[in-house]
Amino acid sequence: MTDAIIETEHLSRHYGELNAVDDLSLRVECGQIFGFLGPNGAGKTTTIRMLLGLIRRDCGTIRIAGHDLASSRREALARVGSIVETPALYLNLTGRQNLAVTCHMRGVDKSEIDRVLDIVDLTKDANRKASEYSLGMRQRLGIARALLGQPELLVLDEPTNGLDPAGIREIRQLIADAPARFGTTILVSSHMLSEVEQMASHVGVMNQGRLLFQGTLTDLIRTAPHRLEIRIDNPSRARTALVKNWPNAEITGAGLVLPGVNEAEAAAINRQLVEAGFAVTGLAIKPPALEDIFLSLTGENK
Amino acid sequence: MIGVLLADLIKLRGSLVLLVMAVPPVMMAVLGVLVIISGNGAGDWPRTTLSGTAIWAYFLLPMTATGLTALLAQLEHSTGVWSHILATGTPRWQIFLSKGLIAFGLMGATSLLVGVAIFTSGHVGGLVMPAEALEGVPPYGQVAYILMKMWVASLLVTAFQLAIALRFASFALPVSVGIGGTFVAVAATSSQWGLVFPWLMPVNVLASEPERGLLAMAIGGIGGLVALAAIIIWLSRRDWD
Repeated sequence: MTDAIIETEHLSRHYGELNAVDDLSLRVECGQIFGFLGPNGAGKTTTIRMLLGLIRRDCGTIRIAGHDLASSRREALARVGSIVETPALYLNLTGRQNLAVTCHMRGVDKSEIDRVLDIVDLTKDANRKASEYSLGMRQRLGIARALLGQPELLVLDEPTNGLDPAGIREIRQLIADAPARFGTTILVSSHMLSEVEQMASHVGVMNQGRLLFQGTLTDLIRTAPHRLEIRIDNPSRARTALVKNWPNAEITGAGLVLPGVNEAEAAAINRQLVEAGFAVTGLAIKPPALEDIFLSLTGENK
Repeated sequence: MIGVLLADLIKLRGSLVLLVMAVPPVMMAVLGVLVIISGNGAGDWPRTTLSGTAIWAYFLLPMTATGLTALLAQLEHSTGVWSHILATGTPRWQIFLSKGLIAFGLMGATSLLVGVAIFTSGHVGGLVMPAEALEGVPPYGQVAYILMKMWVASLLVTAFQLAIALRFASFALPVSVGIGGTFVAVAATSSQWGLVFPWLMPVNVLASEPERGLLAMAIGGIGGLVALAAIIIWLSRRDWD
């Protein structure tokens, strides 16, 4: 088994009656880009804040790179670079001075500054005040700062929030390349599936404080119910023939669609239709769209 | 810890904190020169410089403590800054201790500049209007000693203002408390409460009764250090949402 960089067990945090995070057992392994998905208010940011030691947990444990956050906070967080909410910068300082602040705080050698500026392509703007930076540049500087000291884990909370399409693409590329370029594991939270889909190797889906799924994107698709699409000569009669076992069959154009069918069931349906005298000209099991899976998991398609 | 202090010093560059530090000495210098050349001054060095220290203690010192601590905290209150610095893994007590030491240090540096301004205004006033030049010898040592005692006595009010400024993101709250405290102090000068009212500690240093001055040093100085320790514990334990 690969080493876990983040491991939580039965992590919970309540605000009064609200279960912001409820019994969360999360495992992120080294080298992954872990997309942390969920609608707004799902508990992602609360989880991230607990992972970074910003808020206390009511119960449960957090281990980062094998270090227990409660007993070895400094050792655990020394391995983490992060952006929570927005790249919080000192606008009265230049980009370089902002990085110098973090170098001093973390005990990182100042030679790191040039390295990270180069990574995010801000070298020529390093001596400009952060107040003069565009939102995209601020986000890149935030990522540069998170990369100081070559952390084993980057935690990025909604890193493309508020960016224009070009900025989103730039940040997405930076994140996608990070594990290979710097050997960094990334936990990136987002409420946008399309964004995570393009970067993440693994995902965790949260809703109402609970983790509903964690695994690879392929697993997510595989475990979700597929649909069977049948091209047939008389869809209306065919639907009547199947209605006893498949009441959800729907007529679509020149065929039928049956949700939640696996391969064995597809073979049985085909046999039944052929034996009943229908001309089946096409049969395909199709995975559901990722967005449908997400909406189905989070209950937002109701 | 040194790293945290250096980081806090870098943050001051280009900030309003340094501007606020410059205001009291400039005001003291300008006011001092105007009083001397108007011919309405005390006429000699001891009384003129003592008046300067009194103005500092009554109004400018508490207002400077208010402004400096509020602006110092505002550097961190922008969206997400606390999250960033607290997530670096730096022990929280170091982060808040550094803030306290920087605030105390800036107040000390401002006191020093005020001392320089008091004497500069005396000399400049004499040069501009030789007929009104101050008599006697400038009491450098005595004024430096008074300003140092005032600084020690001001640690409590500085710590108190810093606590409010760090805890609450609002700029208006610590400034209102500071202005309120300064004005209440004027009314409380002659009351029994004046002995323990934090905003009056620097003024009490000037009291003719030596015990009152010593009490101000003890309450202001030791109280300031105890208050800072309490602030560090309080802020280190709370959640930073």
